[in-house]
Amino acid sequence: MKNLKLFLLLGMAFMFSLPACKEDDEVQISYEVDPNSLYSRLGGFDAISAVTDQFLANVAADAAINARFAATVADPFRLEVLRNNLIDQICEGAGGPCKYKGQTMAEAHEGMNITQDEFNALVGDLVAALDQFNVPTQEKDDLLAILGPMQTDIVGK
Amino acid sequence: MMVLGFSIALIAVFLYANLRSLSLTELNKPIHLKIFSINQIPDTLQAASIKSTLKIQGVTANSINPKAQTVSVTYNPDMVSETKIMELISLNGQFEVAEKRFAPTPVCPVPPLQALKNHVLYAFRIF
Repeated sequence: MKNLKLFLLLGMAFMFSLPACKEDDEVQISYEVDPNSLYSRLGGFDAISAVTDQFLANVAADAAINARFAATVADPFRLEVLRNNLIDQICEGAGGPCKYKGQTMAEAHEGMNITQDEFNALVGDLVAALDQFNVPTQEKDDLLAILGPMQTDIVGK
Repeated sequence: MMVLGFSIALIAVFLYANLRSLSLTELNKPIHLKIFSINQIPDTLQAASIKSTLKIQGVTANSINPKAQTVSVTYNPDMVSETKIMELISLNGQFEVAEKRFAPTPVCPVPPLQALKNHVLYAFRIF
């Protein structure tokens, strides 16, 4: 009987919370972002998301490194983690309203023995994605300057 | 007692999965990424044709590596099927298309456990 009461209580709490949740979903999310930030100059969240998808496609077609990503790509949930982490990393680094929630670069790449050539191939794939979206040289350089220092935590770990 | 504990845990996960506020990236439509191999090296014109034929609704990006006879595609599975994508890559039967197989690698940037949370929360989400 006590269990039943608890279930009913929790059930009611859940039912009352549903409409509020629905309304929240319909609200247009807006964030205050510095218009001069790299995030804004890159075109905002949708543009970063599109570049990230192209970057992932380039990596997946790159014979030099795609075997590293095969297992991740095969599982949509692992792919989602990778994609979201990449978007959050670029978005946050560029001054956007995102928060990177993944492991540190050193933790994520520990034991992978990534070579300098593999890292260069990855950067090449990112540059190709940025070029495909005609990202200007200044913005490209600014972004690579943010991501470049991660190299020491990725290569040879 | 154990059943009650389990039930509460289940309800807690259900509530968390449905009521937590999602980040911008979590609101993004999920994608699948497939890597296909084609049976011959495409020439420049064929590679360009494959790239342009894949510019359809639901495909978010594609990349062709002619030398490696590889085509990769990111797409929204609710909008376009893998079969349709393979059909487009084949350029009306000019190429045989198959999903590319890789030798298993011991290391990978996203360990399965990291994705487990997403698996669980997705399973419990009803919105």
